[in-house]
Amino acid sequence: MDSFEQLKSDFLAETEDTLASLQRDLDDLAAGAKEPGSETDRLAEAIDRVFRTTHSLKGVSGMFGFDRMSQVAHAMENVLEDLREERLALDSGVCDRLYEGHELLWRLLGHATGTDADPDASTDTWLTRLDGERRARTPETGAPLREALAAITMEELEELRIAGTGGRTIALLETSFDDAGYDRGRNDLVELVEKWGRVHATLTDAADPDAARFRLRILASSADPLFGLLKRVGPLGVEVTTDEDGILAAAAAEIAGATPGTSSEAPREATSPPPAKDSPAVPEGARPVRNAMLRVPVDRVDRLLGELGDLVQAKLALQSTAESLIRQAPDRMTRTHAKQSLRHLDRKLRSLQEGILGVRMVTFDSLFQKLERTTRETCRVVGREARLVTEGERVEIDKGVLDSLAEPLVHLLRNAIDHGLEDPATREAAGKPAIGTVRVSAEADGAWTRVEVADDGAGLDLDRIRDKALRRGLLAPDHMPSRTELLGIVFQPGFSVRDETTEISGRGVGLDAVRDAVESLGGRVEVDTGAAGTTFRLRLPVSLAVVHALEVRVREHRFFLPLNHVSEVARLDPHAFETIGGRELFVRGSRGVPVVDLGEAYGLGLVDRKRSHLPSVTVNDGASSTVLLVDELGARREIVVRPLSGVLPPVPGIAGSTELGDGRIVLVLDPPSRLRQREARLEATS
Amino acid sequence: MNALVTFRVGDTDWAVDVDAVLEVTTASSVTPVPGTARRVLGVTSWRGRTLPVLRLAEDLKDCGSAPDQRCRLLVLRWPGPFALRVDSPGQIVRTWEPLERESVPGETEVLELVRVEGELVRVLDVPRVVADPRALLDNTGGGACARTA
Repeated sequence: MDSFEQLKSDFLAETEDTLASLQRDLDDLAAGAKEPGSETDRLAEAIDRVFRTTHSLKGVSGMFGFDRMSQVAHAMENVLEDLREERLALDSGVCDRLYEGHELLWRLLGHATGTDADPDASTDTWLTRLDGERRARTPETGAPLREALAAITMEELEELRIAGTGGRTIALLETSFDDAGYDRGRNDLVELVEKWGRVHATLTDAADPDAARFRLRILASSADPLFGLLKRVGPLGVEVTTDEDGILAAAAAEIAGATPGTSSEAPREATSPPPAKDSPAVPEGARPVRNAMLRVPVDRVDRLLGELGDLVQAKLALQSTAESLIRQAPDRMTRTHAKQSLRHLDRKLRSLQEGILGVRMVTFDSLFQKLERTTRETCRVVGREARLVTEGERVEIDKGVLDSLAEPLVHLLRNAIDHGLEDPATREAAGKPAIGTVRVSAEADGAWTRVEVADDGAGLDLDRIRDKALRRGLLAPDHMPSRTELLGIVFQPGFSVRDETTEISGRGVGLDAVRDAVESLGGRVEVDTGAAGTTFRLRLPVSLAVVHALEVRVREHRFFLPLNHVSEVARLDPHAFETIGGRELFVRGSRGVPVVDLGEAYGLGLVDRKRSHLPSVTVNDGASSTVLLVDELGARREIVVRPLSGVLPPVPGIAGSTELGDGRIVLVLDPPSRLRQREARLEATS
Repeated sequence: MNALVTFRVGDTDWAVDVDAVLEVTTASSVTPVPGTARRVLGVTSWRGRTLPVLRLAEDLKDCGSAPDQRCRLLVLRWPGPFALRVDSPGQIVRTWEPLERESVPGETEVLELVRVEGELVRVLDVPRVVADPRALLDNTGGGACARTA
């Protein structure tokens, strides 16, 4: 990667932080907009912060060729400038525009990093809208100056721009003369103006052709106050316009942007002095800053983790040989020393593993900010207000888990706002605040992270769920389902309590997709509901990369079962198996647990049953348990899980793979998803 | 210049654009993946990744034969790396002359026929091999491991 590409990559990474900080400042602005009497100074500071951020982003993004990002930042900067100059009052509408711009910047960043589609049409629409709004609020008094600036040459405009940025007062003088008096009048006026300052351009055109009058316009600048000019030309009836609205800077940028060879999308910085010849070609904002943080691409960390996994496997192979040699060692001193060395190696490897895994850990902060944007967008679409409360921003979790968690949480949040919360009148009638609240929290729990999405809405209508499930054939008519069973139905593919489809709920992603996504991470999701609202509880592993797993053999195949699925490992007496209703159950006391041959479930052929006690693993998916029969139980190990990369889509029942010390790949199974698929198939064929 | 890598599957000669080939290698083992279609031979370890190993439709004609544990692979780059089991990788053919090309309607994995050293070979249409990732899954509910490698 050349140095420019490296700087560009750094810029994109830093922009994530910039946008995160911009969000906080916009939140401060929005809070100020809701409370008109709030501290003026604090609000002004927030406006200044947002202005500085957008201004800097505009410049640096344009420099790196991200022109659309630069345009959006520039449009936001204009809004902020109007706020600062009090041409615009801060209200919720203005905040919405700024939030929309912020969202566009996120999407443009996503597009630049290849994770998002190009929001091209949305950007155009937004920019056009902002431009129209700005034009509407810009006083027309600027029109004569704008018109005059458009008529002068580029050189004259550049001279004026430099004069303006140097702090000189810019003035447009306008008058008219008849044909006979034009030359003398013009010369006298120019002479007067030159006593005040410098004349940059004169423009003559026919003010009234019929009356043979000619209009004279003079563009001038001076370091002296305007009063000196007015004193000289005022008695002559000359109209004087000054550049109070930054029209000169805007015109210079606009005209320069339309010139071939310059970017039409990234406006030139009117307030920046021309760069010195010996200054580096890197803008200040893009210069790497020496600090205590180091950005490392995720794939580089993952490669390191993969190498570490290989090292762990190599250590296991070495350990096996070493232990055999230790047993044969002639003296105790050698045996003790060798054992200590192995333990030391083990500790160091574990410490290295924890260190590398720690690099992958990120906080929920960024995801919660995304949820805040989702809340605003959803509220706008459904036309309802909702309050999002987040807790546990600093809780850490593996980046891979957090990335995969984003979509399920967005879905649950949209669902909560669109389906969960009642309308304000209903809420008030029920004694609740008119605005509903959705609470999203994260909490560390050892090797797990608990995430909750809770709304204070009316709760799920269990009768309605039962009716819909009956109509869809998900429940037998004579079956009285338990509360747990009914709540489990909401995770069935395509199941919805609502009859109508809205923009929010008609996106083709159901709660089944949420469950699948969470389970593919090795996690679990459950729902609870009542009059106080509905809560989705997610339990997720802190890290995906390393899992504790049990090795099993089925016929000639070896697999790993993640221990988070396993509730019991046993050798069972087949006499305790009974077949009831065509299903084989392991009966313990009054309880029967379904028995499934793991070989049959995965299409590998049946396991060997000609034994007095059958090796088994009981897995639990949070709602029910299943006894899986295997041919052999192996050791419990810590394994580094890799996804099945390349062109393979996700395979139901396969969580990933791990590599053994000899280079062989062993699959890591996800039995609950395979069992659900098997169950659906059995039901379809019965 | 035209540059092709030739290879043989069963009795058929094939070629693939050299730019599509990441490596010609031998896998020491291929692990079958339950729940995948017959054309997914399994997965193997390649440069620290778990790579799917696919077979051409041509390779599936003889249903009874299970490939050896050690098999020759062409690792292809598009649209994400995957390996193709081949019987024998051939050579890199470079020609400055335009290749004599013929279209082959009806064969989905064949881009065209070209004449290499007097012989007609099928040029592999790499994107078409994995055009539909869902087709790589076993949708019958049966297992995919009876063909154990």
